[in-house]
Amino acid sequence: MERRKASKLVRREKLTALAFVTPLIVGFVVFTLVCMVISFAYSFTNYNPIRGSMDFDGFKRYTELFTHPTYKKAFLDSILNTLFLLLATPLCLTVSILIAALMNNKKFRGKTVFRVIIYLPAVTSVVAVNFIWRYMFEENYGLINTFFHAHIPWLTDNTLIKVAMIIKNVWGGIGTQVILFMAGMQNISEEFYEAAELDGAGPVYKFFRITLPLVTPVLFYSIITSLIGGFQIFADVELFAGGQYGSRTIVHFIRNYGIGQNLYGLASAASFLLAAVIMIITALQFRFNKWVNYTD
Amino acid sequence: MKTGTKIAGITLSLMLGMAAFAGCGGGRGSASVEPFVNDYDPNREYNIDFLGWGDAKEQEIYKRIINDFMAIHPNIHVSYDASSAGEYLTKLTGEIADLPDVFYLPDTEFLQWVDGGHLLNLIGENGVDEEKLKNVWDNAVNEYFYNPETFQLGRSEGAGMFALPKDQGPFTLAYNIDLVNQRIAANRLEDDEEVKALFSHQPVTWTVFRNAMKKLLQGAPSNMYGVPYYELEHAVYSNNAEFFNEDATVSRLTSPAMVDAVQFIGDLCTDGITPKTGLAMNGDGADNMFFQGNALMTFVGPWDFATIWDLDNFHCDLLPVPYGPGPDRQYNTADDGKSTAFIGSMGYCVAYKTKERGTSGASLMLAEYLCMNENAQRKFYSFGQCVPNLKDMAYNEYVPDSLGILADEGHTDPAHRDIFIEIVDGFKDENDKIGGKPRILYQTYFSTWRTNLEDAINQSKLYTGEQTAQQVLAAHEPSFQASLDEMSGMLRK
Repeated sequence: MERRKASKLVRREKLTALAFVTPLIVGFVVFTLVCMVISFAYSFTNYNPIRGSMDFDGFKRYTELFTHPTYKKAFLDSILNTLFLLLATPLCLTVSILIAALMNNKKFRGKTVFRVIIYLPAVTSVVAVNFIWRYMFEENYGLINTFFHAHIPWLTDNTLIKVAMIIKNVWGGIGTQVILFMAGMQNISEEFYEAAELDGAGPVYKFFRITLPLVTPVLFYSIITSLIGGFQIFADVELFAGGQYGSRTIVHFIRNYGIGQNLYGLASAASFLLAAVIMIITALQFRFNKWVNYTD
Repeated sequence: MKTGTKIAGITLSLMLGMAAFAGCGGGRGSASVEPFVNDYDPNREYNIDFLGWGDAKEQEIYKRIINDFMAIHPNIHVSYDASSAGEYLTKLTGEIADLPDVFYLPDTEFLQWVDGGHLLNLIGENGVDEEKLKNVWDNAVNEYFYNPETFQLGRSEGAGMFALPKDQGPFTLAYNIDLVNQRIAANRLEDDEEVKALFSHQPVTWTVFRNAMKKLLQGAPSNMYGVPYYELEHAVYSNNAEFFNEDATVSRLTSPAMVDAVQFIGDLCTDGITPKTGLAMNGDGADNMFFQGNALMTFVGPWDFATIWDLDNFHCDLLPVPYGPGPDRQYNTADDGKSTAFIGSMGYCVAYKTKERGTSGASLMLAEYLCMNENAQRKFYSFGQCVPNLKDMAYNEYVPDSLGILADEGHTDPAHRDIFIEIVDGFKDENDKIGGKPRILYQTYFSTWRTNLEDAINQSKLYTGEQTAQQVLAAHEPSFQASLDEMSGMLRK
């Protein structure tokens, strides 16, 4: 009798849980899974809604990305640009960990104020941020060049535009990362530090031997999400870089050459290659995650 | 079953499914030149959708004009929707299965949309009022003709008319009068013949343009330029050059006139008249440079004056674009270029589906009203949105501001509005020195070729003088020709 009651309770709990997750599952299926399947199917066609064409072309769209004289250079350069821009991820994470460690120090004063200041970029409009940074990097009257009395073509040089984007993205990403790392650091038991101090450990030793190893789960999460986000940069290219050649990323290629020209087959093929790369990199990260310390 | 085999199985199933799906849905529509059949019945109520774009101000004026239309035709209810310019085509394409009755279409998209069979031919016994159309700019009207048999754009035997012109956007040079006067005074150029010629509002040669600009910029701050960038089409068109042959199948990139046009743009950079960004600096960057007084002139369309009037911090007037020596590379010969600006245009299209809906007649009435109604056109030009579509209104009312509409609003700039009109009116005879042509993308299926060409020029060392235009264009020509082949294959498939 007791067992039957318990199983009824379990079933009811399961149903309640299902009711909570159903909207998410429906949303995922309708707006993500179905779209992915359709898009995957498009990638094997010459689908163009305006022409009304949808002929099965096998892997032609995939090979065109690397061989077609019209798209090859733009696609390959967009890959290189995207990879270059991914440098923002290690830089952002390194700076964030250091700031978080500094702010986590008991002697650090004004923690709350700094936390708000550092988190501000994360809650500021992406459009506003991009326009302000664009103004700062402007060659002729931008704040940076004016301050240094220089004429550095940040926004027009193919390499410098990427450097400018990395600087902007490091600044923009720090807020969220610092909060995550601080949360991770606050979960580290004080006993570790006290024991280390008794053994005569200094702040640097404590950081590398205690703090860093114990925030690796947060670091692992941050690396994965930052890299996935980094591969999908688009808004910066349009809003900050104004579509400058050196800034064009894979997603920009998909938008401009694919959707912008109604070449949905080509756009879908590029999207799937990008998705595949992201999945492989993420899988590799999970495969080689022995450096992540999950012990308490 | 192993995971790998499962994935392969799913992939194969999807591909096979797609093959079947593609087999069912393949093929494309094609333009129909069947004569327009007017299904309008004054005793019936109509609900028609109209999709456009524009900022809040433009949307407001459209709402007012549409209300005027509905007051005249109380049985036609127009539902007006608009998006931002940047999102418009995505929105329109998203509605492709059920297009609005009337919608904007930029001339640069016209070929693909008309070839896809989405637009209704407006010519027929009870179709567009061709008598009234005679008062609309010929170039604007001709632009929206297309013959699906010969794939020929423009008026020709057997062609249909698939849109009515929304407006004509002559894109020419505007200069900051106050800044130019300062430079003239600073360099004591009051009596300089080349400077006087440049601001005479008559076309000058490229040589005069470069020399006058160099003189004006002497001693100027290092962040001041003559022009933020130079429009590629203006250089090409004004040198009697061509990007490709008549049916856009064969590249003309390395023809002498084309090479010289691109070299002219490179020379402007090496002279310091334009920044080293070359063609890459356009849009907001160029506008800001001009509005902030860091450039003597820039390229503008009529719509830019709404901003200039709002800023109200300098006086501004128009100039015709300079011209090159033409294919023989010598001035004062028969093939000299003529001052030719590009004219941006958009059409009011009626969806082919209105035939099924029974709303084609009412839709055409709305399109005609917006395109040709006097009151509507007057409101559009007073708003600073465009030059009038109606020739008599443009010449007799807009240019002299005979009704004082612009003066009353304090919108006296540009004083030489006639330059806009001369561009839109095209070359009337051999002696006509100022004219305009549609944007080059009007002639092609996609814009990738144009993006790639500008990228190739911008990525080269043309702007520093380390490479010549001949070298840059020759290196890019195979890729350019491949793009033309691809587009030609699509059109003729």
